[in-house]
Amino acid sequence: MDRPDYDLNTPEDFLQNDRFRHWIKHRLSQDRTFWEEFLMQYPEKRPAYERAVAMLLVIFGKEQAETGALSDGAGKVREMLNAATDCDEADRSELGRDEPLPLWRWLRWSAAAVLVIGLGFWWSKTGREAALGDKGVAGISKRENGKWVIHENESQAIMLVNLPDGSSVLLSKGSSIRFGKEMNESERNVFLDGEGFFEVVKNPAKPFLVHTDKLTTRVLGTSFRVRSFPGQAEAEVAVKTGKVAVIADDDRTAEPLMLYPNQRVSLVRKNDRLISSVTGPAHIETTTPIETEPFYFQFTPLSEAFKTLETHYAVKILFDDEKMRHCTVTASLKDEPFLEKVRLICLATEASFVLKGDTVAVSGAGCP
Amino acid sequence: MGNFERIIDDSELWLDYRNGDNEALGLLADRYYGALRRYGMKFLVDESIVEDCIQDLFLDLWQNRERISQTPSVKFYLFKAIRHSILGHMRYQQRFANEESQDWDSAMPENFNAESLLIEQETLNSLVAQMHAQMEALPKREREALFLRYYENMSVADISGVMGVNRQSVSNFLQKGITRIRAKWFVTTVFNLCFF
Repeated sequence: MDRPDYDLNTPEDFLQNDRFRHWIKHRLSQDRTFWEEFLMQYPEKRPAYERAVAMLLVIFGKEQAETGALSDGAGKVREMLNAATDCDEADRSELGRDEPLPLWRWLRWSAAAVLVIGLGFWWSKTGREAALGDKGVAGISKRENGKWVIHENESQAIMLVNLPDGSSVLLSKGSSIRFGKEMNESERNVFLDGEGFFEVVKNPAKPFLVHTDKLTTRVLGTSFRVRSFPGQAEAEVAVKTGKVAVIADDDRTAEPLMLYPNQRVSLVRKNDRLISSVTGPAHIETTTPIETEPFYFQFTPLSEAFKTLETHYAVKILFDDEKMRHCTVTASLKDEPFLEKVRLICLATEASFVLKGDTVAVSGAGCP
Repeated sequence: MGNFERIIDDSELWLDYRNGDNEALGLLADRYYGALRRYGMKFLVDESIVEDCIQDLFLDLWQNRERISQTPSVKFYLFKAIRHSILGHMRYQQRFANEESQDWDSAMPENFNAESLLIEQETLNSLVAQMHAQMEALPKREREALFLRYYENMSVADISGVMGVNRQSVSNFLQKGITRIRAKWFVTTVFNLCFF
C-alpha cells in the first residue's frame, strides 16, 4: 500500500494522489478510516486536505440524479442489443442477403429499440373511456373513439397508415396518430405524438394540418416528416417535396416559418423557450430512408418497383411474379401517397389492386 | 464503481464482443453507461439526447463489430465516441450559433456532506464557493480536461485522444486550470482543530 502521508503537502499533491481521489469519489468506509487517521497524525496538513477536497468537489461538479435512470438506461441498451442480435439472425436466415440495403441500418435501429411504449399520451388526452379496439398484429393497435380514429405503433418497425383522404403516413415506432373518420371538414386535421412521414394528397381547398405538442405544420399537398415526442425537448420538421408552414405552438402570433424541399427546422425547448433553427439537408442520423428515396423508376421491373415500396412502407405486396414478369414501370412518384403510388403503377401495368390490412394484393394479366 | 468489481477485464470483454458475443457488449454497457451519461450531461444537452447518443453508440458498435479493432482502452474509446456524437449533435443543432458554442456544466456541487469528508461544514461550504467562482472563470476545455483527469482518472494521453488536442495542450489545460484556481485562493481562517 502506498504511503501518501509522506509526500502530501500541497493541495496539488492531494489531487495527484489516487487514493485521495478514490476516497472523495466513493467515500468508502475503509478509506474513511485511513484518512481519519491521517488527519489525526498530521494536523498541519489539514488546510491542504480541505482545499483539495473542495477543489475536487468543484471539478466533479453537480452530481446527476441517476439512481433509476442508470439501470434503466443500461437495461435499454441491453434490450436493444438483444433485439439487434435477433434481428441479425432473422436477416440471415430469412433473407439470406449479403448486401445490406442502405436503409437497413435504420430498419434495424427501429426494430431494435424495443422500448416499451406505454399507451402514452393519447391515452390520457383522449380519455380513458376510449374504447380499446382490437389489438392488431405486431403491437399495432387501432381504436375508434367517436368520430376519431387512433393508430398507435407499438411495434418495433415503421407502420403505414392510410388516411381517409388518400394521404399516407409512415408512423415511427412509439408514435401515435389521431384523425377524423371522414376528414370532411374544411381542414384536414391530424394529431401526432412522435414521428411520422407524411405524403399528402394535393387539395388546395383543404389545408392539411399536423398538430403536435410543440408545433403545428400546415400544408396543401407535399411530403414531409414531423417528429415531436411528448417529453422530449426537441421537435423537428423536414421537408422532402413541396412547401410547408411550421408554427411553434407557444408562439401562435409569430409568422409561420416557411420550409422548402430539403430544409428542416428543429425546435428545442431550452429554459422553456423554443429555439428554432432552419438548416439545410439531412443529417444522416435522423433522416428516414424514405426522405431521400426519389421513387424514380425507368423501365424498372415491376418486382423491383414493388420491392422498393415494400421496404419503404413496411407493407407486403402480393402479385404474380411469373405472370407479370414483363411489366416495367417508368414514373416519378416522389411525393405521391402510398396508395396513389400503387394506383399509378397498376394503371401503367393494367392491373388492379386490393388493400387488406398491411397487405396489397395486385392482380393483372401481365404485359406483352 | 471503482476498480474492485472488475472481474473480467475490459479488453477481454471487448475481444468477446468483437467475436459476436452480445452479452460481453452488454456488460461493457452496464459498466460504462453511468460514466458516459455523466460525461455527456456535462455538455449541457438534453438528457434524452445523451441517452439516445449512448444507445446509438452501442448499437453502432454492435453492427460494426466485424470492422472494429482491438483497443488499448475501452473507456477511452467509448468516451471519445460519445464526445464526438454529442458534439456532432450540438453542432448540427446550433449551426448558426458561434463556433465556440460547446458548453460545459460546472454547476455548484450540491448537498455535499462535509462531515462525511472529515471537514467542518462551514469551512467546506466557503471553500467550495470560492473555488466554484474560480472554476466558472476557466475556459470550458480546461474544465473538461480537469474533469477527465481528476474524476475519470484518465491519463494525459487518453484525454488528448478524447478531446482531440495534443498532449502538450492537455498538460497546459490541467496546469493552468489548477494554478488559476490556486492563484486566487485567499487565505481563510484555517481550522486546525480536530472535531471528531
